[in-house]
Amino acid sequence: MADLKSWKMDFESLIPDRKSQTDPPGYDASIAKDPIGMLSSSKAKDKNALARRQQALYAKATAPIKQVGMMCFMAWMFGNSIQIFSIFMTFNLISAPVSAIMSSGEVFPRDEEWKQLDTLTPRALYCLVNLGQLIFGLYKLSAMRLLPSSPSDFISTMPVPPVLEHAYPAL
Amino acid sequence: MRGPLGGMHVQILLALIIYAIVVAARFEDQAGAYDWYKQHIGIATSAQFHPSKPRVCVATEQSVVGCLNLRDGSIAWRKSLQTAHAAPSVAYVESSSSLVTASGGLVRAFDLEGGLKWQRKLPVQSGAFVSEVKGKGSDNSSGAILAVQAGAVQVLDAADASQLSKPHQLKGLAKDNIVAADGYLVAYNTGSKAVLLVSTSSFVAGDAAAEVVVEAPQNLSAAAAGGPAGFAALSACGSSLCVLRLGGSGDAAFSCLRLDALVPELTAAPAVSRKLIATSAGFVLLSSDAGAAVLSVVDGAPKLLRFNAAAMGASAEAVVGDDTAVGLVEGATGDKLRLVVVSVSSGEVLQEEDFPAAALNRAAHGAALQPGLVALGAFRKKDKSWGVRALVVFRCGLTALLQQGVVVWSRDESLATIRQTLFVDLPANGTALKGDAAAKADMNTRIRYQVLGAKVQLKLNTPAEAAELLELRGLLSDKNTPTRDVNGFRKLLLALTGTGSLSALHNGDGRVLWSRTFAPDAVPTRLLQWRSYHDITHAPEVLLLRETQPGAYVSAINAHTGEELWKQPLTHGVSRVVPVPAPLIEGSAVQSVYLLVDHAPAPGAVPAVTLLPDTAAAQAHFASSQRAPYLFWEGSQPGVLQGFSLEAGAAGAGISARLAWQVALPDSVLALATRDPTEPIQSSVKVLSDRTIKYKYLNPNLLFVATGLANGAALDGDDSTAVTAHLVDTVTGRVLYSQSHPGARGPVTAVVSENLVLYHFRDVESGRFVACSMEMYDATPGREFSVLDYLFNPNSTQPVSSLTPTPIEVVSQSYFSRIVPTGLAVTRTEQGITAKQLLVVTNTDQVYALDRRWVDPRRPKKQKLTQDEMEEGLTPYQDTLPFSPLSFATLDKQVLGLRAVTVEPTRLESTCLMFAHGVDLFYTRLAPAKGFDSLEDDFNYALLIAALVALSVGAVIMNYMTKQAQLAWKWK
Repeated sequence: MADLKSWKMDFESLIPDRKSQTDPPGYDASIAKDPIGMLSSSKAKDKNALARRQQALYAKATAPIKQVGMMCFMAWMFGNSIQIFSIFMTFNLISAPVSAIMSSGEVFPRDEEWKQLDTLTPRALYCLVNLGQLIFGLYKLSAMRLLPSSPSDFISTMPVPPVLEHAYPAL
Repeated sequence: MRGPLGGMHVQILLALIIYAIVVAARFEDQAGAYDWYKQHIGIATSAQFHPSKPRVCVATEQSVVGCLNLRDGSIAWRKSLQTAHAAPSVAYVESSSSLVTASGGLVRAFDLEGGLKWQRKLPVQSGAFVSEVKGKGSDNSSGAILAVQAGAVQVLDAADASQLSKPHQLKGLAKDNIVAADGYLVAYNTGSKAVLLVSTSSFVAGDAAAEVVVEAPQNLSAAAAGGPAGFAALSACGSSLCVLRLGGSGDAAFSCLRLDALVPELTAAPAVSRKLIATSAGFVLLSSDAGAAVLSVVDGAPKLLRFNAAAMGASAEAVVGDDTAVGLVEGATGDKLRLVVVSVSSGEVLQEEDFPAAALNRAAHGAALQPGLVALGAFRKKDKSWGVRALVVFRCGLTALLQQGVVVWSRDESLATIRQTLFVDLPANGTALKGDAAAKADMNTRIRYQVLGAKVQLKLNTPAEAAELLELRGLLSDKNTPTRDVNGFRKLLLALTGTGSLSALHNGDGRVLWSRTFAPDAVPTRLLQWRSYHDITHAPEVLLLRETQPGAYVSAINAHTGEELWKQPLTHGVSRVVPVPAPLIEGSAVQSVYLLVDHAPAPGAVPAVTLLPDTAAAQAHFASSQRAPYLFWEGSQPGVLQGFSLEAGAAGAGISARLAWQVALPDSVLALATRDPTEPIQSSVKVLSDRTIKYKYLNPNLLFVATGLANGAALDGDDSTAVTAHLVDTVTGRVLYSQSHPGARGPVTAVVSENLVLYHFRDVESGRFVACSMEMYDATPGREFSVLDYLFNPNSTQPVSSLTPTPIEVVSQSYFSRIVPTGLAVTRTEQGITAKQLLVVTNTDQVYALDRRWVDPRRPKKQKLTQDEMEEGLTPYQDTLPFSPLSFATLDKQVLGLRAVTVEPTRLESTCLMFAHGVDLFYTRLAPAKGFDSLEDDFNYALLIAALVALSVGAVIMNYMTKQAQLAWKWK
């Protein structure tokens, strides 16, 4: 009966250009596509599958390179002037890699089924790529003179030195 | 997807509308919101009723001539003669009905409508004496004017100032007193017997003038008068009246008569308190304490016609009907003023009128009503009889018109003579000043005001509503509340006037909250801060000081009520008052400390210095506050600067001074300027765009001296003239830096602020004024800055000493100035963070606010700036300073006779208060870097709320409409 519950129609499914994807109860599309796979032993395919999964993880780790390159190029295009768009851009340039690195554990989860799968190296690679963006963001910030990186950034509140003698004008 | 997009459009539109409303600059209707302006004319020294119009024309001590409307006392016109505030010599030429004035080396004639008829330059730039010549020799119908200056006499046509004869040189006429009497000029020095007589008719005829010297039997005082009856003067001792008979047959001869024989009732008084007024038949002798005697002179012998013991003031003679008469003003002390019109030929009382004085007493704030000048005028009443009116100028500055039993109007002119001003805090809430309750507005009025404001901003208003808005703004604005506010905008402005009164003005609208007048022999000359409190229950106290002996005193005044708290006579005169910058903290009180210097100008004399207050606590404070206090001034010889080291002796022994250094400058000193030691400075460094650090040279012991050819001195053809600027360390007398400007001369105006010196001088060749700015930096080689040391070492800022001087680097740049400066001041804010503006007092009596960045000596000399230079806020160098008519701090007003500008910081960093005073008063609020830390006072909250509500309602409606549109689309 559980299957029957999903076999329903509502107004959403009546949108004209969407194809009706409601399958009849008891119909399994995967079995319908590969009836032999169900029957053959999985052991022979294991090695191949592990390599493929590892490759997929590396692909996932290097995927942001393109995006990072794009971001850096855009940031460079914006120039070092301080205005609303370049501030947004720079903020994004710094916050995006930080949040990506923080959440890298979720991007590369440990798979209980595939214990021998190496998730650490792709994750490190992923972090490295994002770190690259972060470094570019900081460089950008410094180019915009927003990083307190020189002594003069600390000196502006230096008090006036006291004077030992005092001459009173009687003009 | 039409719905959501439509919603977005509306939102953007609304946002744009709000933005447009918030940023729209409004200028015209803000006029008068933060500023006020009061026009004055000054203390009149001579007055003349207009022959045909209801006006009285006056010349004043503040060297202003003008006419007042007789109906309401408003100023019909006025012109400043622009001299060093000395009363001009005035002659009224009846035939051409014009006022001829002489002051500052110029003779000018004004018609009675304020038009300048002509002007003629006199050879020397000093005071001159003008008189109309009515001799038989003048066949000219428009009359002739005699202008006497330093022994040179010019005869000018009253119509067009053409010279009627060549100038005469009579060295004998260069005397203290010159009086015109019956076809003669009488000249003598005060306190001497020799009197010179010159016939004026010989001048007009162009003949060589015959000088006759007559010896008076007694030494003569300055109280003298000349008229058709001859010349009369009081003797120097004040006991006799000497009358000189002129013309007629026989020689001119003096006859002196003892006053007690002439007027037995007159009490003995010194000659300075007496005045002589000439009439056609004789003289009026007026004693300022009381009593006026109308005298007639027959054959050189004076005879008493009438004595009025109660008269305090007397007018010059005026034609009343078929008689000529003088007006005597009586009884100014009571609740009545009496005007007595006495015939000058017979001494009979022609008319007598009483006037209620209560309103005048109120307007004078309790000051004694002592008439200084009385002018009498006659007019025809409706019943064809003759009436008289009198313009009375009281010594306290009150000017009033008396006519037909009423005081028609009165003007308080004492504020035209302000000498010193001081801003003090108003009382805190709940302790408001008595008798000054501001009207409270109800909620409906406030809502009405907001609605009207919204209408005006959206331009949906009628003219009547705009007027109502302005009226409501004045009503609802809290700027006139007599209590202090959070931002420190509302202050009490204390003003010490030349007429001897201390007035407290509210800075919201310039009304006088209280006023206190001092007797003429106890007029204070200095107004100083004395004691202020951190708690709100105490009123601040100010100090009044009279410097000249005898009668020197100090007294403390409660600044909120004007009540005198104590008064203490001084045993010594005071030549200089020197404030000690660090105040003494006593509990919650902040006590100012002063050094009173008594110094004889004799060479080698050591100044006597006393401390005020001379208490043990103040002495201990003075001894501990500085390691070595010094004192310096411009010495008694010109061009000499002297510095004295001060040493606080044992308790009660006073302070001893010793000459420490002396600098003799080659030329005469044109300007001196020091930095205000209490000026707040936010940072002691300047960081350039390439992150290098420049240390500002902030030594408070720095004196700027400009020397050069004395102002007004003649320039020899082959002599080159130069203005030299020196920076002098005032502890050691060392000249730290000098730079010279060839081809320049004074007058020099200068101001020192932070590490900037700005001074103006005149370039002789181009005839233009040049502004030169200097910025001083510490140039100690190898000075390093360590961040760690700065952050963690509390002793990282080392004290500096003038005895181990640091090398100084001066960056300097000159610019031509389009405005001609006569004074300089600088804005001042609470913390000193806000960019400064230099306030240039111009020769047109305005104040121009010049941003400091325009006089930055580092302005690069190229048109295309680099990114770094733009980031630093530098602007390309131009040889002329920019001039923008919108930069006048005085807006479109002219502060006639502008003497000084006072700046006071408020508690908001962006804003400071400026008060400019001369004959006129002008007050405004300045924000040198715009109001970055506050919304405007009249910010329309109603419109903001309405816009927000409209936005949210719009959003809700649009949301609903989007849903509807989507549903309709789905059912399609």
